[in-house]
Amino acid sequence: MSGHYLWSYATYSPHITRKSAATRFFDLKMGPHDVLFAQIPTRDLVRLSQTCKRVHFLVNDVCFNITRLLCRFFGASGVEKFRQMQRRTGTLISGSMALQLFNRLTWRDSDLDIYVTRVSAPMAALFILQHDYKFYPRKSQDECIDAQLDASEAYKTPSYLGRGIADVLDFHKGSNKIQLIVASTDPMETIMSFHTTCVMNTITYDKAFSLYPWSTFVTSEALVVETVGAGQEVGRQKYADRGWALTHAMSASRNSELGVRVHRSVGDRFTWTISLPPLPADPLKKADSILSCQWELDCDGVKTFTAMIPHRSNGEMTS
Amino acid sequence: MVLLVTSDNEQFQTEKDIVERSVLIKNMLEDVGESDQPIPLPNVSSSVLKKVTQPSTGPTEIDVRGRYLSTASTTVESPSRPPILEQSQDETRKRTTDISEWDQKFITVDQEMLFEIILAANYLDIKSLLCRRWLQDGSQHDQGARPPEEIRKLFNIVNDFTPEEEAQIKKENEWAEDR
Repeated sequence: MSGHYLWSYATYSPHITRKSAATRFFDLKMGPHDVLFAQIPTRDLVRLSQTCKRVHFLVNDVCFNITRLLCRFFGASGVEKFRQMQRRTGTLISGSMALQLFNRLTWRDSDLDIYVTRVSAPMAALFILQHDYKFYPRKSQDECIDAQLDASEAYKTPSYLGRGIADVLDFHKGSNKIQLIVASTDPMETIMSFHTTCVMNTITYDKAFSLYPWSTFVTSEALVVETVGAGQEVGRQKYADRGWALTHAMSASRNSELGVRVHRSVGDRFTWTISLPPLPADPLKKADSILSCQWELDCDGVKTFTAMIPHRSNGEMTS
Repeated sequence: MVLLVTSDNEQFQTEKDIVERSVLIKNMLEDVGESDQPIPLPNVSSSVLKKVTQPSTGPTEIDVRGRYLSTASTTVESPSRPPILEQSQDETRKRTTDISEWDQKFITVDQEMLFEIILAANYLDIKSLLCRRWLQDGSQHDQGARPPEEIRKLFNIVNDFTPEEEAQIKKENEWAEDR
């Protein structure tokens, strides 16, 4: 038990102000904090993390650890390099891996889905190849990545893709699979076109955002959002099987993340934001373009859909 | 019987099968063998040890980690989490947590004592005691989750955020506030 630092009763003096038992527990360097945190529901944990610096660090380190999430894909030392690549290219993580970060779960066979612009796709693909992954082209794809990316620029939105996806490149290493999803325009628009709200989570180089945290992590609901492309029902069923109740009902409340025509933006009051450990400074750092992403949930009387709100580069909405 | 000596020098004669819930003590007993020598517990006070060694109220058995298992147990649903499917693709829809009758009755204590017991449980290596009562005492609140200010007060945690840090963290987590 020598690794467990505990306040020493042997040296206790009643004249010295004694820390509370909770503080001493959280101060433990090798304490079983994971055992405690695992029992605490998400919303309680978030509120506990706001009590002091030490608890905030512990909760993020134990429960929402980006290195632990990604190390099986790039090794512990490669995760920071991956995040640096994200910073240079604006690459986003989404899909089930982003959901797992927030939900403190491990789905062993999950792929890593990363979203890039056309411009950034070659650099992201190179990074993946440098980490010993091999490109597995689909039947319709060129074996050369550069040639395939060139070819995909001419695609006319085939039915498999749609949703603002220009191309999907598959990389494998052992049992690990990385999907590089090339967005036709903005990766965030692709993510906002997902089939249900519970998967609308994304991780940038420095922050993780869950856009519908209350329904996803408190009430365990997933709003079905109309989207194009094949396989949407299968995708929704996967999350229903994982425990989310699929709903078609939006909220009439302006105080709900699922409210009809409630103006939303990444990082707004409905968003759950987790700041990730800082990376070394980079003078070439790019702006957080996803923070300018704005949208509303709307309904045409039959189906719910996400309406993106166009914005100017200076952040002002267009009229 | 085993003689335990607490940090405040109280001596406890305790049945061996009870103290062996603690992996630490169990290992000690195995190391020293049969002995009349007292076992010092410098990190556990008498008030906490009384709680830790409270006897069970039902037919029980002891698992390999020293956890007291009661044959009478109840199942409760975690209040606000989606189902846990750790490392599997099971289709289980509900996460359940077994809380033995003994565990339920065990820590009817104030919040300071709660963490004293958690600390002692950590030291003694009694994992089942670490977190049971958080769910029922630390976590629950009339309107849902307790606000950070209330948690600080409850557990005597000092807020050491700068105003700027606190504002940022509040903004990042505003979604979790009561509605």
